[in-house]
Amino acid sequence: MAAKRKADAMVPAEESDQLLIRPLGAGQEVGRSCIILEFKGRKIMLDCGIHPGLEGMDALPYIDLIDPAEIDLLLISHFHLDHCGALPWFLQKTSFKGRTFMTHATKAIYRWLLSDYVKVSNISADDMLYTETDLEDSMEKIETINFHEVKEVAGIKFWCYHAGHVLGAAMFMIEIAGVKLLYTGDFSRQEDRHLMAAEIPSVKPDILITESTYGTHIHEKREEREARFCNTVHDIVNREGRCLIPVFALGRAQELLLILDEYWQNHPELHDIPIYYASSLARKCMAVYQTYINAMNDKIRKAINVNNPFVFKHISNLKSMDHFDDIGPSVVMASPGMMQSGLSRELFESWCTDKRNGVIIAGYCVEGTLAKHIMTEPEEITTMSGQKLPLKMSVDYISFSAHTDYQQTSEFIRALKPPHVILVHGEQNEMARLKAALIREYEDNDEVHIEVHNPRNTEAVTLTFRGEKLAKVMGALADKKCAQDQRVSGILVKRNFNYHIMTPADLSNYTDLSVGMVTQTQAIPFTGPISLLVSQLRNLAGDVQQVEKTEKITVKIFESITLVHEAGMVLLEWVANPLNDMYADAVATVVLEVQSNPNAQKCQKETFDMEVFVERLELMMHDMFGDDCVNFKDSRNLFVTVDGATATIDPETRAVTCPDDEPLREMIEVAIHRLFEALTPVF
Amino acid sequence: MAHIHYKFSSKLSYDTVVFDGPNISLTDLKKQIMGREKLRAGDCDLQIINAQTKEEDGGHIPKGSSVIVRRIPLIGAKSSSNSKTNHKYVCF
Repeated sequence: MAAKRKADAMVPAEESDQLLIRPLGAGQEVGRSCIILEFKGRKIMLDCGIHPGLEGMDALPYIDLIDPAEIDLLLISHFHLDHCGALPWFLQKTSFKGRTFMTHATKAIYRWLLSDYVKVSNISADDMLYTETDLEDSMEKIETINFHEVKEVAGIKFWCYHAGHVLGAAMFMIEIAGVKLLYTGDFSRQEDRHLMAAEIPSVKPDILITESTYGTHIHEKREEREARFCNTVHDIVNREGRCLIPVFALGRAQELLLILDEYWQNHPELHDIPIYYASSLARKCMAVYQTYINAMNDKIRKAINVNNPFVFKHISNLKSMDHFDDIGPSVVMASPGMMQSGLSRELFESWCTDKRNGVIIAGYCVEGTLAKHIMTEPEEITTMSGQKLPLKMSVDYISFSAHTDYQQTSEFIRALKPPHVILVHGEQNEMARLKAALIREYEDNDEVHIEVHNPRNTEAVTLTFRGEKLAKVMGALADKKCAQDQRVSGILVKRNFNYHIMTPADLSNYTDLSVGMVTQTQAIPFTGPISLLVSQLRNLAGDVQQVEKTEKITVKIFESITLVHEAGMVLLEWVANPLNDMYADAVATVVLEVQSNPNAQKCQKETFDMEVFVERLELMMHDMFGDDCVNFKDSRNLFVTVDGATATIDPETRAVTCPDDEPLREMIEVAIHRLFEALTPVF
Repeated sequence: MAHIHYKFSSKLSYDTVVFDGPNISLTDLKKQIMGREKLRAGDCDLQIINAQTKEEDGGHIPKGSSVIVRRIPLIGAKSSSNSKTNHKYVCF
C-alpha cells in the first residue's frame, strides 16, 4: 500500500518539512494533467484533466491514489480538455469538498467546451463520465480569480500570472509557510496576435513544475511559421483545391482566424475564395472571446477601440454540412480537431482523394491518432464507415499550438533559477531529453544548483524544506532595542504560518483576543462583633489593612482579599488565582470559626499563665518519677531528683540542665516542651 | 448467484459483480470489474483491497465481500492510445 502514506507518527503533518509532489496524470505523458502537492498538512490539486486518447474511466487520472475529501484546494490552469476535462466528474461524483479556482475566461469557456465534448462523444450515455447536468451543477462550485489577485485558502496563499497559450491560461504561484511553487500549466513565452507572452514572475519560486511538451525542439520563427501557413493555404486554393484545417473550435483557432483574415485583407485576389469557420459552438465561443479582451495583449486591446478584430471581414460561420455549398476552392476551419468524426472528418473523407486538396494540421497531435497517422503519409486511410480511400490530398504540419520550446523553457528557468524543476506534460522520451539538456546547462555552474525531476504517474517527488521559524516582536515589547542573549518573554500568537510575540496588554491591539479577569466573591453569614473578627484575622495574617473612606468597614487581608462588613454577613472579594484562592480559603475558615465558636466570641486575647504552667509541670514530674522527686530550691527553678541525679529546670526558658545524667535531661526536656506546647493557646 | 460489492476508492457508491461459486479468483474479479467499467487501456491495473481489513486481498475472494478498488498504473507498460477511440479534442 505504498500510495497512501500515513503521516510520520513522531511529527504531525503540519510541522513536517517534507513537501510532496505526485502526478496522478501527465507524468511522462501528455494528457489528464493532475498533480498533487502536499505540504504542512495542506493538499492541493493542480489541474484535473482527461486523456483525450482514452475513453471512460481509462481517461481519468489515477485519482484512486488520494482521498478527494482531503484536498483543500483545486487550481485549474486553462480550458483545454486535458487540464479540466475531468472537473465535472471530480466535483460531482467524488467526496471532494475543497475550493476550486480558475480565471474568469477559463470558467466561461470551460462551460461551452465541455458541453460540446459531452454532445459529440459517441460513446453511450452509461459510459460517459458525466452529463450536461453534472457540468451545469459544477459551475456554482467553481470560483474565479483575476490575474495577479492574491487569495488565501486554508493558509495557502496563491495568485496567477498570464501564461499565453490560450485565452485565460494561467500559471499559478502557490505559497505555503514561506515556500513558493510555480505551476506553469501550458505556457508560451512568445506573444502572438491576441495573447501576451507568459510573464516572468517577479517572485522567484523554490520549485517550478513545468510542461515539457516540445522537449528539446526549437520552434521556427513566428513570422516564418505564419508565412509558411499562409503560403500553403494560398497554394492550395490557387490550384483549385479545398484547404481543410481541422482545429478545435476554441483556442488556437482564433489565432488562425486572425492570421487568415489579415492575409485575405492583404490579398485582394483571394477575396472571392470563401473562408469558413465551422463549429456549432462558434457563435457562443466568439462571444466569450469578445468579452474577455482584457485577458489579451495590448495590441488587441488597442485595436478593439477602433474596431473589433474578432469581427472578421472574410470569414463566415458554418453550422453544418447542409449549409455548405462545395463549389470551387475554399478554406474550411472545422472542428473537431482530430477528425475522428463530425464535420472535419466528413470533409476530410470527401476531399482526401483529390490531389488538389490539402489538409493542414495546425496543432500538437497525440500518438495513435488519425492526424498523427496521416503525417506519416500513408497510401490510404479508413473512413468512418470502414471503407478504404486513397490519400491523395497534401498533408502539411504547421504547429501553432503555443507551447514553450527549448529556447523559451531554458530562458524561463534561467530567469527564475528555481532550485527544483519538476517536468510534467511531455512524452517520455522528449521529457528525458529535456531533463538531460537542462542538467547539462547547469552542471558546470558552481553558483546555480538546479535539480530536475521527471516523475512517472503516481510516483512522488519528496523535497525537504527546513523552514526557519520567524517570530515578529510587536507593540510595547518592540520599543526597546534588544541585545544578543537578552531574554524576551511574551505571548506567542500563531496565525497560519505567521508568528508574533507581544505582551498580554498588546493582545487586543494586534489580535482579536482579549484578556479577561475573573473576580470571586463570597458572602458568609456573620453576626458577631467585627472587631473580634478583625483581631482574629490579625492573628492569622498579621497584615490586615483598614481600607479608608468606605461606607462599610472594609479590610484588606494578605493585600489581596477584601472583606466588607455588611448587615448580618461579610463579603469576601478577590481576583482569582491559585495564591489568592488559598488566602481566601483561610480567611473564610477564620470567619466561620469565629461565627460558630461561642467561646471564641467571648474570650479576649489569652495570656500564658506561668503559675498554671509550673503547677502542671510539678504534677507531670510527679507522674513521671514519683511524688518525692520534685522540690524547689529557689523561687525560680525546679529541681527534679531521680536516682541520685538532679536536673535543674528553668520554667521561663524551659531549659533543662543535668550534668550527671544526659538521658534524664533529655527526657525531661522533651516532656517540658510537650507540656508547654499543649498549654500555649493556639494563635 | 454470488455477489461481491466493489467501490472505486475515489467514487462514492458501491457496484456489484455477479459470479457463480463460493469465491472468485483475484484475476477473474479484476477482469469482471474492468469489463463492467470499460477499462480497456493496457497500461492500468487494479488494486483490490478488503473493505473491512483494509489489506490487499489474496488469491480468492469469498462471496459477499466488499472490496475497495484502486486504479493504478501498470509498472513497465507503455502508455497506449487506441486509434479507434475518440480523438477529436486531441490537438492543442
